[in-house]
Amino acid sequence: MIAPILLRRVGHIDPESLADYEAYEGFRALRQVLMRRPEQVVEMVKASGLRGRGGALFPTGVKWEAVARQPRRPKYVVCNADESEPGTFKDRVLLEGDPFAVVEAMVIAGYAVGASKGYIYVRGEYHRAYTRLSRAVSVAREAGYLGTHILGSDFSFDIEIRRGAGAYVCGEETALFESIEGKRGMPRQKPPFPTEQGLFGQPTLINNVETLACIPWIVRSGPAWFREIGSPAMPGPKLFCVSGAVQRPGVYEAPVTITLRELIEGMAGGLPSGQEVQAILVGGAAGAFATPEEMDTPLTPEALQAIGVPLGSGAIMVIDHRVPLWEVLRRVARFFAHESCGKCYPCQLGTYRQWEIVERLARGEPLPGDVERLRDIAATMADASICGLGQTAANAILSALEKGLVSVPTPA
Amino acid sequence: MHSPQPERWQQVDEIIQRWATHGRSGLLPCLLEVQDITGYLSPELCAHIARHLRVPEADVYGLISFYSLLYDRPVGRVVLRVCDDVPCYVRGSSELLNALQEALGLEPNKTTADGAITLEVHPCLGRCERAPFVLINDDEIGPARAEDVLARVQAHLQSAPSTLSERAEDPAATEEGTG
Amino acid sequence: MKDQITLTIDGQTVRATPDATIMEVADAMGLSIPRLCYHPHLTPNTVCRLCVVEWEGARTLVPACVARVREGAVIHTASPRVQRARRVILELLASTVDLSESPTLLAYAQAWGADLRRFEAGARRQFPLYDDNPFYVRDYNKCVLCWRCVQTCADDLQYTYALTLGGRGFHSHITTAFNRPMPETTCVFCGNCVAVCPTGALKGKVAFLVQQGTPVPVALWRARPPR
Repeated sequence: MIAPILLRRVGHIDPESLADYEAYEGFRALRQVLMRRPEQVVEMVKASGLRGRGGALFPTGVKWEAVARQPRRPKYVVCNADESEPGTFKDRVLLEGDPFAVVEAMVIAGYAVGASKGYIYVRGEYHRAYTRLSRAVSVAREAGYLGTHILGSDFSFDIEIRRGAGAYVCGEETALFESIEGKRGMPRQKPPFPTEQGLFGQPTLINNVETLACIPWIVRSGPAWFREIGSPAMPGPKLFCVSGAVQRPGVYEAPVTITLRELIEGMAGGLPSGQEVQAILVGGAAGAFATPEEMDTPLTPEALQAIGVPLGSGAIMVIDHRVPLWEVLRRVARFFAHESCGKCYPCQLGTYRQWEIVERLARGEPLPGDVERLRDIAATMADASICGLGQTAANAILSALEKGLVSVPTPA
Repeated sequence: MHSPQPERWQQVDEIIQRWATHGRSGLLPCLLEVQDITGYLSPELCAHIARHLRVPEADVYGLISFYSLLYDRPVGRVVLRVCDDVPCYVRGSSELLNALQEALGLEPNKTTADGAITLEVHPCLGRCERAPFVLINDDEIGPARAEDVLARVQAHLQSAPSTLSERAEDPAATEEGTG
Repeated sequence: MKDQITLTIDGQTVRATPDATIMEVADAMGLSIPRLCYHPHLTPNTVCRLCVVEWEGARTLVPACVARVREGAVIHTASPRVQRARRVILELLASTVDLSESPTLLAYAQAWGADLRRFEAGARRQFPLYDDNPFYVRDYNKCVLCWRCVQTCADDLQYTYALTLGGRGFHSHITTAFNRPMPETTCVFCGNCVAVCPTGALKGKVAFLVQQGTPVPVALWRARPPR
């Protein structure tokens, strides 16, 4: 097992102490970056092969380059800290335990893409993360890591922190922009993409917390080092959120070559005695189920794809054999019905009808044709919804049906 | 009518004036910060905020009704958010929720008759390593047992200052225009 | 004259300007792409998704009202995936909203083979009739949330901002600030929202009363001003 990188400081330093952060490599990457040209920094991120850790796995360097090439000013850097995917809590752990890392990464990003203003959009229910971040930003500003002429350079950059207000959909990047702009958090039709028209209609770099947390390490140790960790398609360390029926639920750092079994039985201590794995919900409510037989699958995107499961945000929810799985599906369906923003019809109506049908199935009182209804809703939401929320809202339920994890009651 | 807590209304006005320069982009943080003091966002308060931030009143209302942490009517001084999503459910949130409902005599998303406690069933709160998890205002309890939660609720009821909305009228009703 | 590009729609090769939308090109070809939220004078909001088409190589279907054509694109306006999406959207709508005064939608339902009763076991959105001013009534049981009224009232035309979307998800609805009666809002009773409503959710007071069977002179008398 490799020593943790992203979690290196978490739990070992005082998250409110700049001195602690500096003593543990803090802000050295920024000093290095300010001596290079912005293009070199973008090149470094590209060469690292880093892919977005929010769930979409988009190549981070490609995004950085696209924003860097935009001639329009101003540009923005946005940190998506609206972590709300069920079973996901890695970003909170980073923000609470190592808030300066995100600040440093954002300044580096701003320098690389030519932005002078950054926003951190923190989930409304993450009170401690918000407090720690606010403190980190003001302390960093006093120390000259933020503001005008950072560390005596020509580069100026500052960060504003915004609180979310209870809407999962605001984790979708364009909905997040709408929210910062003071509107209902409803996703925009893409294109245009944020790199061209993002926050306030301006070119915007938006990255997830964990993605940004990788940046200082890439700068310090180099893209080649980063690529040695993980798999060719998914380099670098990854945080996994193991929850549910395990002895030690928590955030674990591992390369994606780790298998589900190693993660669950090794790192998270396995299930309490007498309990067996019934199913594992991987990737959050928007994810899909893995069966106990699939536990030797590595968590690489390719291997997971072969079993029809997305890596997503890195949520690994372990469900033991005592739990009625329909109750789990009810919660997944309720979640999407509750969190649909209501903008596009497939999701606005589909998530609600899906919930109603899953409730009927969970009660053992389906109507004739309910499974076909579910499948039609699932296909329509996936094909025709505006954003990822609707496009993935049926995945978990469909995967449970397709893998035979639940039996479908026969209509009366 | 004179407000019994003028210094807190002053806080509200300071928040509004600070965000007024941001215009519409200041709306969400302004509403959140004001609500931290007032407990909820009354029509009068919203009209006041709308005027100072130059945002249509209808849009202010549209925003409040979209975000689940914003309230357009009074909620309990203590808001109990019980996570009942998948990881918490696997670790007993249903039993916890039932016990809390019974002890408080509350259905989910309802407030006690005295306006003290609101019970909400919440989507995943992102503290799955501490499941089953409960937020009492911004106080975190997990893994939560019903008796611990109830004891903490009592402590909050005794220590938490009552929100402005329980005592006073809204600023727009008492002082016209601040900016 | 802008540079022409070449693309394929439903097997036909067509030339178009690169800033044209799929809908514009398809309309010119005489293809019938259904549409509901789209209105030529309003900002496209892409909410209804009835105009989605299949663009070969794209992960999802794309809304023809805003997606711009590209050189070499191969587009199908009525592929099986497209047909299913349209059919299911119409079925879901019919289970939620009273479409009885939406002849266009009912015709679409027939054209795309939608079974209007397929989801009828589900909850409908239900609202009281808002009859709060002398000029028009609002029957949101017929509202499909196309947003036209909100946009017309706001930056797309009238700059009056009396209307907003409220709630979210299935419970989204059109409302005023704190759901106040229209005379207590910024509404100037211009009637533009009524004019753009595609489903009879907004209706002139006289038309409404006539529909109720009330003779017009009496109707006018009954439509008295607010208190």
